[in-house]
Amino acid sequence: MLMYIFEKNKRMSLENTQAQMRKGILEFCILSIIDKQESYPSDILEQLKAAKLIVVEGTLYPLLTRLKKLELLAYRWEESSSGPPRKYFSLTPKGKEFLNNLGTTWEELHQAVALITSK
Amino acid sequence: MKRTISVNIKGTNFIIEEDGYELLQNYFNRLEQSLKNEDGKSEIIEDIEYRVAELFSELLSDRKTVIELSDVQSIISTLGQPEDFIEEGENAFETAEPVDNAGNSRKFFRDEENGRIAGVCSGLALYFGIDVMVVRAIFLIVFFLGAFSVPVYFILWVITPKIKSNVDRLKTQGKAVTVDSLKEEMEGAAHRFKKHSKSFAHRLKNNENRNYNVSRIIRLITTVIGVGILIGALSLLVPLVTFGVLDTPFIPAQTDFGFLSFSSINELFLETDLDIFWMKMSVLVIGFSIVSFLILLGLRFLFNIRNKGYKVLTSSFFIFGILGIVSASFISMKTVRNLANEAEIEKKVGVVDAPVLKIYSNIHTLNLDANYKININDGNGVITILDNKVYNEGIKLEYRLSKDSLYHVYQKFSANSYAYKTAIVKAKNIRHGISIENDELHINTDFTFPLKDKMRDQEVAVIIEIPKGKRVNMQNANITLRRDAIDFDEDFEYEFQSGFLNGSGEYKHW
Repeated sequence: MLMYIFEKNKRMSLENTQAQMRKGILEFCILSIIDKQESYPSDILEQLKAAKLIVVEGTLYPLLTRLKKLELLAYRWEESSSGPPRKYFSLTPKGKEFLNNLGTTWEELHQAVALITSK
Repeated sequence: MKRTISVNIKGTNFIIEEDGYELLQNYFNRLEQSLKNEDGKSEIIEDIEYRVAELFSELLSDRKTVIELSDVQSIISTLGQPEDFIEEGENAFETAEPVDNAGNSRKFFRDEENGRIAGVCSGLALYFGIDVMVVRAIFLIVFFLGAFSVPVYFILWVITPKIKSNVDRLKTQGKAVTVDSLKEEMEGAAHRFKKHSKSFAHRLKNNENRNYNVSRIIRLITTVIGVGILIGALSLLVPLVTFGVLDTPFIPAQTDFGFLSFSSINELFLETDLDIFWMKMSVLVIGFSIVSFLILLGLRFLFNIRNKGYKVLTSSFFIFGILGIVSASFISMKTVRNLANEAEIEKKVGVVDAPVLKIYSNIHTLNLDANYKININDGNGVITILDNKVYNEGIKLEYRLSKDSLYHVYQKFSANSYAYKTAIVKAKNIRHGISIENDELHINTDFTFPLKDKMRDQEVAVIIEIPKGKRVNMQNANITLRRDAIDFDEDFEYEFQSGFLNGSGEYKHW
């Protein structure tokens, strides 16, 4: 218990804050990418990197596994002519609903932040 | 000149320089170490292996056939260090928490936004920088200990202002109200919102009750229901412990100790010691399962519990409850079987030669006092247990036609058991006082049998055979055998009649 309280009292550094903010948005973006088109990890990485949302590729994999655990994602295997077989991810109905809700939340947050910071 | 190694990664063979291979091996070892607390550890590692294989494939061409150390280094920097992209559990997700800033005095506000009832606990949690669950748990414990926290809660509700702005929220946490801290708080709010939308159930709630007030009312109702269930569970626990565990006597009866306890009632009815033990255990298991189940249910309403342990615990208490009921039913059925066979035995008391037989009742021989007519429990009797004997009240009287000119009196004892043989033994063990003095028949209104025989529907009837044309005098009322108009057969022209003498000596003719 004391350890827990102690942990929570640790001050968060700027770096940590940025990482947190990015991380929350990351899930939303991954789901959006997959929603547009069934994708395999390298596809997703390419788009995330282009948007400068991730720095290192390793970040993606634990997230994909977690989203799959939450039954928001499903995948199928496909053979590739130039390398190992690929996992193609798609959204489950639950995932689609989840994404819709995140979209609404994002809109609300975006407006809220815009309103506050413009003052 | 360097040595190379052939490595198979996810079905593809690569030729890698030895030091490059060692670096890669070391990378995956660290990855595994960082992931040791993660759920889908092996799957994440596998996915990354696929990615490595893919990146390697892209590097190779007709000209380049070997993966060099520098290639491995660049791929590792693309993937990133495991320590950088893997967080330790969910803790990293928690928002920034209060820090004591010297010179910024803390102020206590109610946090209605995150509160259950009026936000007192949430406010306290913010103020002390601890989890709101901890504060609520403390409140609940204190509440059940002395209901002391309820007035305190209402006092704090009334005297403290609620958080109206983020400035207030920062004050509650004792933070300096600066642009930076406000910004941080906003990020915290954004994160709280996200955390909520992450949980499926919460998301549904948010959808249905976008209206802030509606969701607050629902939180209030669930809190009230939760507390109600907890109070119910604890009020069940009190009788369960008093009567089930401490075995406090509570069933009114006349015994050496005044009242009968749950165990002694079991002893009265159940056949063997093993049955008694099982029955007691079953009832305790049923009781504690219900109480535990209710406590868990109540806590579920109060706190958003959703983990595997909770489900396992709830279902195991449910199963325990069912097992208890099955076991109790089994013993009950076994006991009912002990009532299956009834045996009746008749014993001749004597013969009376008189114009009229007068019947008198000896009331309650246990409490006999010549000066008083004692009426206990409106004559319906109570179970009395003294010196390992059970005293029961109420005697049946049966009248039939005598075959000669004399009155014949018999006692009929009946008892039930699983076999006729044992039923007869139990019937024989019944003791009932009856005596004939000249033309008077004195009948005790109670009878006894040994406690070890158990309650097996033991009954006593007095059979009186009345000569043709004669009568019996019972408490100043005459009883004659009625003629049966329908039956023309001489031998059976008198109807069988009966009556009942209750514990207080009142007679009722049927």
